[in-house]
Amino acid sequence: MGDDDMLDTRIRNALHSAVDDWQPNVDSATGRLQDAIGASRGPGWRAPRGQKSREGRRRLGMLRQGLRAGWALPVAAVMLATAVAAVPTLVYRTHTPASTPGGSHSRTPGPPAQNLPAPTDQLSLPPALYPPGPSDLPWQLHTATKLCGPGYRHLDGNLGVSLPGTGRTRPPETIVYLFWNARSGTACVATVKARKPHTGTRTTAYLQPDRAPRSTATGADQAVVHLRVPTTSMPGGGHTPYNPPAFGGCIRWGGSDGTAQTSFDNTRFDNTRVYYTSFANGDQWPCP
Amino acid sequence: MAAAVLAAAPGTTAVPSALEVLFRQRYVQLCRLAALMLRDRDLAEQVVMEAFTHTYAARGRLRDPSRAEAYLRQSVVNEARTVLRRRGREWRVNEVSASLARSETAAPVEARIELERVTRAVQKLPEQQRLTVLLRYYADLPEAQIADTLNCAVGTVKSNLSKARANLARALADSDGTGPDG
Repeated sequence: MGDDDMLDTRIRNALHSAVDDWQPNVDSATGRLQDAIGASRGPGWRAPRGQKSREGRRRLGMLRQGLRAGWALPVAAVMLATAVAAVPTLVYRTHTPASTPGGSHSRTPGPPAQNLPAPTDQLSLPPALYPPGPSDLPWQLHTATKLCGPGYRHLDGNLGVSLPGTGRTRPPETIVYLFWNARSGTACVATVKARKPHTGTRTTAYLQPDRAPRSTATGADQAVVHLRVPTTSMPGGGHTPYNPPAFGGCIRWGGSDGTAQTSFDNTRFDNTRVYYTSFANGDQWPCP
Repeated sequence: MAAAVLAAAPGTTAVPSALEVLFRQRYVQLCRLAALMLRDRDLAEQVVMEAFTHTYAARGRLRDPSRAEAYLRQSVVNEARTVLRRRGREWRVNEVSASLARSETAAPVEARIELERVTRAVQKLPEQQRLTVLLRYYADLPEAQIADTLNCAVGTVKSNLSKARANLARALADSDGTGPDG
């Protein structure tokens, strides 16, 4: 019973916190409603009860008359034209990327995005793996500060990884980075489009320390996820400013560039790469 | 108040004040409900607007004036369903968090994770179960009114609700654990 109550509360809280901060503008909506009601009095206006049957009989009579008089074709043409004219009003606008630019994860990464300092934390990607080309500038501009906020360092042994594979032959499409902020004890995974940015590609990033829940983020062109690494799982305790904590656990992280056509019920992201990083020695390491 | 919607003369050109009152009282709530159903706030506003226009147009056919609000809710749900059906396969699961959680920077990381996890689990439910969950847990409606809104029997609501809870419990237990894949 206690579990049931907890589930209820969880669902209720999540649903409320998902939309309750949203305050649609009632005043402007009232104006739109008045316009809409004014428009609905046009040809599509349906008369209230009582008047309806008389109106219907009148229309039916006109139609019969028209048929008898051989007006069937013109009448049909007019009806068709009306139907065609009415169609655009029925079509709903589908997703609008301009108004929903991939959530707040994408452009303004979580922690305070203050004035960005000089890019001292420029990432150095091995040229052997990613030969820079004239059109592949964007990823050279990725810095830990720009992606995750101040205080983040790029973790050793985990350079950017190309998503569609084949990093050796051509520059990566999308890069997934793992960063670490020693001061706040927060890890950060950023998935960024490296080629052809600003195409609105859905990207995802996720982060999952050992025995802890997974945290994910999605966004257009770039996705950034932050997660505090639980201190309880750090037997070693302290860590030096620029080194990850030696808690001996491992962290799963990865991302996708969403090029795959994921259907609604299919949560598997194609082109997802999963990496394991052991904080004990900074190497990529398969989690047990 | 709802009864007064009908009292408005059918021939008047301005928005009847009673409808406006109902509109002002229910607009935000219904928009949020529709946003949860559609996972899109702009679309939600359009759908609610459409529902209000329908309710206004149908005021002459409403037999029971006290049920104007129920009619409105039903209208919103039906519109939203139509939109979802029409949108069908265009929908990508990736858009879930994008359109829903827009202003979450202020929330602590843990709260965001929790929100993401639960809403994702809810959105993976089959449509009937999802609507039932939204009406039950977000709109806080009693089972009889949910049945009324979804146009089904109370027993169906109960069974959908219990199935949905079982599904959610399973999904949340999965995501609370080490995660589905490696």
